[in-house]
Amino acid sequence: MRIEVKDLCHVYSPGLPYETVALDGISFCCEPGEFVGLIGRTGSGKSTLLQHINGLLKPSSGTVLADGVDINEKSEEARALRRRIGLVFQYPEYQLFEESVIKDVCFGPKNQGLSEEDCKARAEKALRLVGLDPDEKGQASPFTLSGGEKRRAAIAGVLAMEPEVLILDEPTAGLDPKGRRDILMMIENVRKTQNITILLVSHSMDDVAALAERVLVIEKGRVLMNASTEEVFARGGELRAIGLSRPSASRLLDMLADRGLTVDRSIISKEEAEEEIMRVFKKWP
Amino acid sequence: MSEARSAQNSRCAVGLSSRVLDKSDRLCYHLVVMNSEEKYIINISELCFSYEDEESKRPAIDGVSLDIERGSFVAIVGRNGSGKSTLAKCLNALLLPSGGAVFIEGIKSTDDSRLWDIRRTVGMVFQNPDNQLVSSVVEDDVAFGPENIGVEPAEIRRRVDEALRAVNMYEHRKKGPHLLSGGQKQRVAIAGVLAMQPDCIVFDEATAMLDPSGRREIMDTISELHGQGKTIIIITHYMEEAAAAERVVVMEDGRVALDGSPAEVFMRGEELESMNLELPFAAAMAARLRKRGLPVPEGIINEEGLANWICASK
Repeated sequence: MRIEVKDLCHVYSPGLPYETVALDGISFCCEPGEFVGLIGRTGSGKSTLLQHINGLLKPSSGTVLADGVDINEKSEEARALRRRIGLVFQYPEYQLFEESVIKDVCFGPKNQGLSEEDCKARAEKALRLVGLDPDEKGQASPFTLSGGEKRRAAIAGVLAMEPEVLILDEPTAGLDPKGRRDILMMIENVRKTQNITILLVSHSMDDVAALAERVLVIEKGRVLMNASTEEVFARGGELRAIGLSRPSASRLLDMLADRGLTVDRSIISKEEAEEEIMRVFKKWP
Repeated sequence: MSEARSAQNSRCAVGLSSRVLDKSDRLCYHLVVMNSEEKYIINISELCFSYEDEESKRPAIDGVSLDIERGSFVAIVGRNGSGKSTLAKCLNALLLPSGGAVFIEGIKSTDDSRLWDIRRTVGMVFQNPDNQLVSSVVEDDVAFGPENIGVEPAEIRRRVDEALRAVNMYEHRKKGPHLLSGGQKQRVAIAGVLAMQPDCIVFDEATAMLDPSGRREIMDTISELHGQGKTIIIITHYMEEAAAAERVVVMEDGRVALDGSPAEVFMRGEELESMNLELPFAAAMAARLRKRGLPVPEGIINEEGLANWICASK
């Protein structure tokens, strides 16, 4: 599914003394199957933007188009489109409520009017996709799972609705390092196998650098940058000015360059940074 | 206990039975402290804790003994559910031990009559800044704690100004907290704790919800406070933050699994991995380079150290 956001504005409490312009003319596209990272400091408007993309908030002005159709139209078509856009909130595990994991994951498809059998098949598929064995964990109470497993079960609940666009808001916040790695691998796996459009909001520049093809930088409700991941992370000075940073690998290479070594500062991944350091050592045997 | 409740409890230090300490009590307290060993601010002895509402088999804390040195900077790490936050809440009597004991400046945490002293000594900063701010104006929020313990108005004014300056938020003192960024709100929460003049501050995942600059602001504030002699305990999932401490304690299944300097703890990559943890970026990169045959010395745990070694050895 292609998402196109056009001149989107959102004003909280219009006309009141607390009037706040949260989004101020945002325009961008996500192509089908694309993986887009969304970064920006706290309060930049990221979460407000996400809630517009699946129709939870209505724009003060501007439009959100899904495959060319305005998702806020009052038509059956627009409603069906909204359902194909899945949003995983921050700390989604707080929304787990059923007595068993499988029932919780079935909740979404059940509401879509699917038969019990189809719901179960969908739920099992979604659980496998997030790395939870439905036979082993399906009947367990969601509350007996570990922090990372709960988070994955909650994400399975969204995947079971088979969205064509998956929006993830800080999916690794508050998890231990292994939990974080598992979630990232799961996202990578979903992307490879499901061919869906993914929009990832994260404060971890390393995660965005590892996963996204393109990065959108939001600042004060506007799009500050919209370019390939490499191009965005090359603009270190501008990122720092708005409270962000380059990924760890890039920062290490910056330090080496500052100390007079000739290294490729455009590198953003650990693997390439490792090769670059090895190259430095080979040059001076 | 919810985070918001915990935050308020830890700032409303007045227990029913300890509204005011009389003079002789205070004198006695000072004598005890003077005479006791000055080296440690907190002693934890065979601490056990189980949550009552959990039918779970395993206690959240299962026999932890730790001594926290005065003025030290300690990081506590461990997987989700390893008992880190429970341990933190035992340090200022938000939770009371089911077994063993916690001593704060020599005072047992179960001593209800000394709750004031305990909470005055150990302050807590929690994960979500929005749960910790109680007023609609920044400086009122910082004054909340001292007001609650009956500090003189002039002294409150002085403490509030000093605390806001210490976290670089003085110029924002008249603003509403909702107008601040996450990092700024968290700094106001720290100022609220500082206004209680604690000797020790516990940060329970205080950077988890912040963007990179917010995290940097808080880590800078923490190292400044440490430089001023405060005892700092941070609980974190970010190994880079733990690497900035003087001592790292690794919790696993409610017990202490590793305890040492960051260099010592981060030498044990495989053990950490088995406990769902990882090495800080620089230590992980050093390990990868070692595997490729470079003689990177053990004990490199930050980017600075790694960059220096590469430049000196290439």
